Amino acid sequence: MDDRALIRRIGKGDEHAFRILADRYRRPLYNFFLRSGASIEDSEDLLQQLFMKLVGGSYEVREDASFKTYIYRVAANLLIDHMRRSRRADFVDFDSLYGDGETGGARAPAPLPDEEAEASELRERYAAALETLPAPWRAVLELRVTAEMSYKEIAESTGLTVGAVESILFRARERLSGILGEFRAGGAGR
Amino acid sequence: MNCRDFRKLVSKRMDGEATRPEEETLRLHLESCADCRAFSESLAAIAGLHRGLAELEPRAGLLETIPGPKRFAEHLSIWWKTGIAAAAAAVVLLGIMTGGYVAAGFSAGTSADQAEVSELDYLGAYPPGSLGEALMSPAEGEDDV
Repeated sequence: MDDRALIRRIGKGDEHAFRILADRYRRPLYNFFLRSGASIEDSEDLLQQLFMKLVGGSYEVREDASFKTYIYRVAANLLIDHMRRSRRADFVDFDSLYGDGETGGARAPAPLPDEEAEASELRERYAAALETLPAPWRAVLELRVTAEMSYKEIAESTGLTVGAVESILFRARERLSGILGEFRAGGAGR
Repeated sequence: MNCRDFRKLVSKRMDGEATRPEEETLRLHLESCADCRAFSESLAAIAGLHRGLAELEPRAGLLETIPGPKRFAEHLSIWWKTGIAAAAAAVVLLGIMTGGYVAAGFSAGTSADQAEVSELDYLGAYPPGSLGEALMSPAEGEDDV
């Protein structure tokens, strides 16, 4: 069942439809908050706030816009409010979440073949490189890459201009490319 | 346009936001610029790495605490009814308090004002020679009847 059909059912008080929609979006949205720099606790809190809004509010999804765009827009607004309140003080680094390229925590115990080890280290480096980006840049990158929003949609969600969105994405990628380039030039596995 | 401008176009093209003329201009530049080609390849690798980032699972049962639409409506209804009851109680209380205040105002005014009012007997007196005096004063010899 597509999102719009679920939304219609939720509007009629269908609990099951709400649970299906929540299951569909809880994980990507949770990771959107995390990757944008919110802590685990804050990401959980933001996710709850988001679904409370969803169940309690009227769905103002335009006919020409997808529900996915709509829900990420709500998520972006919540995140921006959160950023303003927290002033990044409680924002976590990505390395602590994706330290081993998987779920964080302990390193892989068994030695890996060279190629796989290099790929694993590259993923770690990438996660660490992401951490160097300002939180709003990460949020914009997530909206583009994960939520697949257009520049216009990101601009509408964040209050930025289309030009600013374009510029942030370029600068973020330029920085990531530079960091990974240095890593590769220095040789993996140093 | 310099190489940085072309690299901006690489990013824009990656997002599907470049126009056809921009794409064509970029294509021609990339054919002749190894550095910008390397940048373009680097961004493609970054996109792959980003997609490969592990997704974490939110805590189990996190969203179970959120009431679904039906329960939410019930909660809302309870809050709504409670709110109306509370508002009605507040209005009654306010009425009682206001009434008490007004009544207190009246009674407080009584002792002071009554003294003043009692002093207004002179209102019953009419200036000498006035019509009031003529009407209200007993006619001459009337008392004698």
